[in-house]
Amino acid sequence: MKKIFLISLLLYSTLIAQSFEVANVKGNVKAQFGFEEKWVSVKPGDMLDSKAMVMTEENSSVRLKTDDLNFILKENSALELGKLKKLTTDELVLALAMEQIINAPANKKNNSENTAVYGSNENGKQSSVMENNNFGIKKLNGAMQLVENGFDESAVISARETFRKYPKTALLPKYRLYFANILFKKKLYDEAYSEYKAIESLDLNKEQKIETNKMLAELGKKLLKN
Amino acid sequence: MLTVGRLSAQSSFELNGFANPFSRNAVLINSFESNPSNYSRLNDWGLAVTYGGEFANAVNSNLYMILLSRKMLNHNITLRYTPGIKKEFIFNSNQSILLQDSSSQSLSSRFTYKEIFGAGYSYKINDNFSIGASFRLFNEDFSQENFKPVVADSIYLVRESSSESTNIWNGNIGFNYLVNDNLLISLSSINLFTTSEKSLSSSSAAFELKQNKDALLSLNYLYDKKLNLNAAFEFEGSFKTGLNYSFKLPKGEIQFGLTVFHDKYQSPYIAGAVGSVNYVNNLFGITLSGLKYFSNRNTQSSFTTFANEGIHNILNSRYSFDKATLTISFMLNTVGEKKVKLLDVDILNNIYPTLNNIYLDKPFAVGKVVNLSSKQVKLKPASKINYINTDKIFSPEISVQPNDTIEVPFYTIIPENYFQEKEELSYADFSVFTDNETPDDEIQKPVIIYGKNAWDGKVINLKYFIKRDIPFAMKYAKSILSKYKAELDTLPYSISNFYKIKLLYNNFIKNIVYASDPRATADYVQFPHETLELKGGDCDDLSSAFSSVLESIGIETALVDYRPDKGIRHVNLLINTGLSPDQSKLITNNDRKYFIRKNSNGKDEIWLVLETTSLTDFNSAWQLGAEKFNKEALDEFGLAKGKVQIINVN
Repeated sequence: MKKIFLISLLLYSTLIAQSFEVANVKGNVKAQFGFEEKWVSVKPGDMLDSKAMVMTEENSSVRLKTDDLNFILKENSALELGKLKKLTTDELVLALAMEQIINAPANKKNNSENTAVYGSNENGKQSSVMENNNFGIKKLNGAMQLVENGFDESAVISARETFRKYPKTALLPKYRLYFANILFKKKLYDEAYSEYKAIESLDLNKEQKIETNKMLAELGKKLLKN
Repeated sequence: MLTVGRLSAQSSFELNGFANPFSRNAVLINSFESNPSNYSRLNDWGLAVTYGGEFANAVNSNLYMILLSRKMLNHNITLRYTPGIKKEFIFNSNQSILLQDSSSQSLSSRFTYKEIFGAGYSYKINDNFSIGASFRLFNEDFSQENFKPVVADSIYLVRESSSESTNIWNGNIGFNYLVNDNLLISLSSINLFTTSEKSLSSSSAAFELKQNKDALLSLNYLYDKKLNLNAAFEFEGSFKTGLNYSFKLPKGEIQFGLTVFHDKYQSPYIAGAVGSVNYVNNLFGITLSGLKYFSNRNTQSSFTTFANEGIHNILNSRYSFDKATLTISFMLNTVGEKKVKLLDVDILNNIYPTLNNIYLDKPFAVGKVVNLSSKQVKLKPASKINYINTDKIFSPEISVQPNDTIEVPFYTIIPENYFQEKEELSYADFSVFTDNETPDDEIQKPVIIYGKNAWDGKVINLKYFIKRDIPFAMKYAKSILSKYKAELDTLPYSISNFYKIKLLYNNFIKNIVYASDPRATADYVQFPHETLELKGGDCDDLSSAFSSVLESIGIETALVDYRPDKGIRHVNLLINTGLSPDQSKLITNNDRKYFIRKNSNGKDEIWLVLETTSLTDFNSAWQLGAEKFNKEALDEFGLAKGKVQIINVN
């Protein structure tokens, strides 16, 4: 356990200060540096730091590499390179707790404590302005690719932030279920249960309903045992 | 001879035996004899009358004593008149003359000893230590008859009486030391000094009251609040020991006492015992006592023995008889009974006048209070800080269990208009009240009142500086915004707050320079108007000032307190744009420059962090603020680890 911790720490410290080389580019790939407003096209050989955000359009992809890592960002995705880092489950729990901490204290008259419910609207239907949230969807796609590369904790943090900054994306059951399953996989049952309960109120298809109910039942049993 | 008491003019004796010195009427039933330094638990006035009888051939009843005692703060004075403390001896000589009618007439001698008056004074140096002195006036009156030949036509004898009388003053000193709530140690002199108003003839001097110098050590131990054990030793060999047991009654207390004594001038070894029953309540006490000697007492004694030994004690000698006494004592309390005692007060926080509201729910001092009574007491703590308060500020009422010691918080109120430029040393009066209008106890402590710009270093308390200048800030904000009225009027309402923030900041920083605190400490904060007038300040000053400007026009702000393990603390400003997350594109293409935070109505809105010390322009301040917040608050989990704290201004 201690070894794993040390390895994680080393990996974290190397990646955070790491530069990523653009190895291959296919199609339209852009990057935004730090806190700049502009997006610029990237080309093979460019060096990007961990503060850079990389975005791909349809039929586009980019391969980034470091000494230890080869990472392909697929089409219609966006990723902050700093998220390419290993976190512990404890760090994920801290990040989830910060969602509550950051909020202003609610007025007694209008108290809305459940911050886990993102973007719920009156009819629960997907908004027609979803196109405006394309960047949010791209970020969720990027987060899914983090999972595919073993960065589960970073992926959940990135997804939760996206759901909040782009509230319409939080109405998409496909993504919500995907990241709720990660929480379950990490045995964060309380957090997973809250997330499935929030998903339950979305506009779900039959399979999604079955999956949600199944997970809620299973989590109910697990939480009861604990 | 036993000295039941300590400040005895002669080797003394206590009619009531040993009384519990912790009892409220102790000074009234055991005065100078049993009370070395006139130690008193009275609150005010005490009056006692002792009436008794001596069981000789017939019962001789007497008013033994009238006693008046007064306690004034740490002083206690006791006066007593003792008409019943007297002893008279009449001896007939072997010489007699035969009268003409064949009857005979013999000669007699009369020796009378009286204690007339006594006065005692004591001073309580502290709660554990008191010293005192007593002075007593005695009178000795001796008359002796002789035959005197008269030469006339014939020689005949006539009976002639010669008498001598003198007053004797006797003084003693002593002290009481209360080691703890249970143990009382007393040490006193016996016959420290005596002085006679005139010298008696050599024939009378032999019969004077013996007043040997001695000292007395006494120990009182109170066990379990009920049983009181006492032992007193004269260094010349006499001693006494006794116990006293108390029972609580619904209104008062009843005490049973038993004292046995050894008197080196009397036999058997334990010469006698005194039993007593004492009922006492808040107003009065009744004490019934009985003295029993363990040797036979005769009304007739040998003159030779008397002439050789004399007497050492008027009330208690080989010539004394069994006695019974009744003492009625009254305690007049014009001063309320002290139910609680304030042992000490700790000042937790000196006073920061600008942070006035923190003292409403956070005590600035805490006191230690003991309940002296046997009942649960409700006490009201109060404080009054000189220069700040004109009246006592009462803190919430607290219940204290019997004999329990608790910590009592003292709160205060700093008036809104209180204003002091510089730090000043003042003092605070702390009081505890129970049922009375006057406090049961009081303590005064020094307290520092800081100047108006003083700050305790807690970022949460910067809001007091922010809020106090809202009227000024509103005037300032409106004067700036009015210059941009045309520009603002063309903007959609949703984005107007963002532009107001930008315009106000860019104007705010004009001519402002960064300057650290004047005293190289972090405990000085400028009011917003001072920052603008002085055209400078540090991060606390600039964040407070700009927060005040925004709050004055209804824009929500929060302070971001960066508290690194090492290095200097820093403050930034978190500002609510009022925009919903979907409207982010109206202000930026970079989603790392803003944060989603619920406002006070529970609605997610876009907030920006501003580095107020970046005095170049709004965009730079925004970017620097976002960068720091992303790194320290989010990426490094500072918010969850407590290294970064968000403090709402409202």
